[in-house]
Amino acid sequence: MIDDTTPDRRALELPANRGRIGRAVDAELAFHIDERVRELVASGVDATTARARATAEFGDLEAARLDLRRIDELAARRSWISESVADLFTDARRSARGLLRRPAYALVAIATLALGIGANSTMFSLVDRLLLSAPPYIRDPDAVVRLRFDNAQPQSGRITWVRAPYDFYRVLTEAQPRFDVAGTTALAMTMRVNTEPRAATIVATTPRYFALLGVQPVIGRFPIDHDASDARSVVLSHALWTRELGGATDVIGRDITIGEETFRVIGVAPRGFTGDGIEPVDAWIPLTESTPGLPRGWQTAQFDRRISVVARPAAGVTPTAMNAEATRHYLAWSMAQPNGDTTARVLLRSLVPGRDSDGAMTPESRVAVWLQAVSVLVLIIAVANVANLLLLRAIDRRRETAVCMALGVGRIRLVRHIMLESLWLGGMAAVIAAVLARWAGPFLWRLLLPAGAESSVTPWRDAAVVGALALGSALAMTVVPALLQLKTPTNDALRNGARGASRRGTVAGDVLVVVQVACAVVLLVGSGLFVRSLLRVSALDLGFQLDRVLAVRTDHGQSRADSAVVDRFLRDAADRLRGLPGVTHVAAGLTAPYKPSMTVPVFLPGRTELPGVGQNALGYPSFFAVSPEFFATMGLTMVSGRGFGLADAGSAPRVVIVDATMARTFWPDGDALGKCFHVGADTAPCRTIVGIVEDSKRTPIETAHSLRYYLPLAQVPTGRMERYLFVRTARTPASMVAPVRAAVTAVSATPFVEVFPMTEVLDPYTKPWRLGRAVFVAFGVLATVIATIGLYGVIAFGVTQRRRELGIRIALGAPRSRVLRSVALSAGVRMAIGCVVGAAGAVVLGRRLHDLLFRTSPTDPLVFTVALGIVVLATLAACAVPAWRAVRVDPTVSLRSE
Amino acid sequence: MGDTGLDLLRGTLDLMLLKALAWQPMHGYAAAKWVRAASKDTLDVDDRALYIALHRLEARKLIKGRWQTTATGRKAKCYELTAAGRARLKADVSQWEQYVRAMGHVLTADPAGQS
Repeated sequence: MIDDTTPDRRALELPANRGRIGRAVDAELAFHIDERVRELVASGVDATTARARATAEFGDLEAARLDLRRIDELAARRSWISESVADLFTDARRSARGLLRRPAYALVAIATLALGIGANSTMFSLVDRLLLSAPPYIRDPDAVVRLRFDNAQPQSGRITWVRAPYDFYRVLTEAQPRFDVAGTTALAMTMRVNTEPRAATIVATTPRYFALLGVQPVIGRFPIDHDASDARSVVLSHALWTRELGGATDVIGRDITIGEETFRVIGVAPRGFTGDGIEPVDAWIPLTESTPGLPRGWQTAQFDRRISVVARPAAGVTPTAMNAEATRHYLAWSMAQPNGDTTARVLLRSLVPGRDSDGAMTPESRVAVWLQAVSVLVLIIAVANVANLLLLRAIDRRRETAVCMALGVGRIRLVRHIMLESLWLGGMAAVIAAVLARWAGPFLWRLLLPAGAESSVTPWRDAAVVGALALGSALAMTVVPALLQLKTPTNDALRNGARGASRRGTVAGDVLVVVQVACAVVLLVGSGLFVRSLLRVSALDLGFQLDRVLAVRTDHGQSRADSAVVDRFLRDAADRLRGLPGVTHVAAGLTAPYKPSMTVPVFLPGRTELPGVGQNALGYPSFFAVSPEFFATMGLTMVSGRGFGLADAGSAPRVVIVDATMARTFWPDGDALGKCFHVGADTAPCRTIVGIVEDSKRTPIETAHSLRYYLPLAQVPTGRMERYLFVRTARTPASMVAPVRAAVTAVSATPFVEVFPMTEVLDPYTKPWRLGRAVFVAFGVLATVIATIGLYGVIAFGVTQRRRELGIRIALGAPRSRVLRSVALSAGVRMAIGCVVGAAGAVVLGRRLHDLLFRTSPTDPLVFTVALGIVVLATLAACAVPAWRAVRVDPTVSLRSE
Repeated sequence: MGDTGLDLLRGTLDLMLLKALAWQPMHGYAAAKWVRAASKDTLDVDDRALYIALHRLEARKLIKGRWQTTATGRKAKCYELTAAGRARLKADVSQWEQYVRAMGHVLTADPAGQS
């Protein structure tokens, strides 16, 4: 594998060793004595005397011998080191030149590796962020824990709350536990930084929060005195600061509007800081009694669980002790509540998502783990492919290699040459992969992480991952060709020349091809399973027909608008929307499907409990407050009875519409119409059921149907000033967003208005499959292409090796079809083995994929058929050119060339 | 071999050997003979010191040893100057001449320091 035709000069010398040096010194000194003896004898001294004299003249011969050996050994060692270094550089240059001479080969190898490495490092940084790392900037994050509140639930076993009522938080802090405690509550608010209001995630924090986490602001400070001077202060996220304020340093002291109130900017959080969670936050404000967005008296409401609690133990306090102390306080508090829970306890959870044992992994996290596995497969394919290319080259150059070895070039040196070539390829790939990861990384981040999440700054970590992957790949792809090199018997190679490929070499190559084909099959099956799942999810009947519905969210603020003003606004806006061309129906609602729904107690007259609920896997009834046109707008069909009308006004008799399952479950005799039930309290007026509407799903993939009922909007007290309008369009909703928005804001510019297609609300539910499909398909295609290239390389090489044989066959009159068949057969066998291995692997891996699939068997025959079909087509493509060349072998040319 | 007298001697011996090899490549025995003859038998070089000097020069890459067949048909290690050795010889000769001149002036100087 030495590129230069002249073998290395040093390599021809015998290796320097102690024995050789000793013998050389002995010979040199012996020559000296012998010469002196010869001279003395020539001058007439007899031989015995001459030798004695010569030895005596020289002095201490043994001492001289030792001195000379020592000097020579030292010199040999020194020059060996310097020459080795020089050799390494020479070889490295030679390998680089060798690669430059074959740009196509180098490009394929580098591109393949770069994709594999890039995919892996990107996925690693994602998995790292999603699962393995605590949120950034937290001092000693392993010590910080989240508190979970575990309670017995009267009918449904135990429930673990992630939040506590403020009342307990107050009790806990007043008890002065041996750990630092802080609480937060997230608020979805409208925020106005410049002129344009926008929806924002605001986190209200208790005083110790930032100090507990140990984070420092980039500019300004964090709030100190929550209840007095800092009560209306705000800390901006780095992203918001750069996006809306251009990162100006003079923002401190500036006023911004959150909800209806003015807040003064006092600081900016570090870049990528997301508090103790992973979701991005726009701004942090102090949590006080009068924090906007919280209902009046929220601090004393004992069922209002809204405070997430984090804690950090004082020095010397073990987690166990902290847990025991927290539980003691929580138990005492719980028992003091009505129906006191005597089994209440606190659980501690890590801030690192992957370590959070009770929280099931989010779908994103599970998909990310799968993507990591998939990208490892891609890297394996890439390494196998490049190893194959190296192997083919090694076989191709066997004669040359044999000549080098016969001339004394060490096998180690030849192996080193392969390794240097691998390292070059790996190094180049790493550079491209790093660029690729920088470019593709943010894209994948946006897909997998909550919107606006920023990478915390660890470029060295990414670089280290890329470097390690490149080095690992380079070493891995050296192994097979190097083994071949070390085992090749020199004589065989010299005798056969480049023509007779050794069995061992081609077997290794075949194995590599089979590995590639198998991995490609696995990935293609994975793609297919995700595609099918996504299709099935998309085809689900939700009840709602949402594909032509736009939602308009309006936020009127707590203080500025009273209910009458909001109602008038919505009525005017609805009227205007009805006048828009392309709009068929307009309805109003208190909340939107697939947004958090509202649940209040329901009482059936004369019964003590709700039949079926909680037992037949039915969810507790939740309600929508809607305007009469809601059912038509959402595409819900009335089963029986009537819908709402304008007559169902605030002063009219209380009415209700229930869904089919609720009617069937509560009134199994089929006489639900005309029955009545109480909503909110058993003292409320009994609402008469006037209609039954078809079921709708609470979440697209709900396992248990949640019972649903609908109240006339006019008959519901509306405390909240956030409202929805729903617009059914005849055109594609996307094209209607701007006109709808314009129509609503024309009524009044005061409320905050957001317009979005209802299908967008479904996006989070289908995200795992969309994501899985996108990446599996991308990687599957990539893997197939790489495997095809690998297969092509092997077959093309085989044809080149068999030129002579094919030439003879053709000369002897073999029909071209038979030549074609023999080429296709050799490819077909490899492919078939690869397919079998891959299909088996897909079955095994698919079982683990099961819980990520939606109503799709991991052994779906159609998916397997299509995946294997693609591989067969790819094999045919890989065969085409070599087969064509084989058929066109000219016997005269191929035979003469020998 | 640590004291200054030997160091000086070694340096001198190095120079003599470089000079010897400047004429033609030769083996250790021939080099010893050449030094004796060239110094008109005034300098009787210790053989062991001579070989040590040769090997040190080789280790410093000033000369290069090569096994060659002599006129008598025996294999002998012959040394030849390398390019570096040649340059060193030139530098050392001029330095030595300066030294000799200076010593000459010193040794023939009168009490006032004038030669």
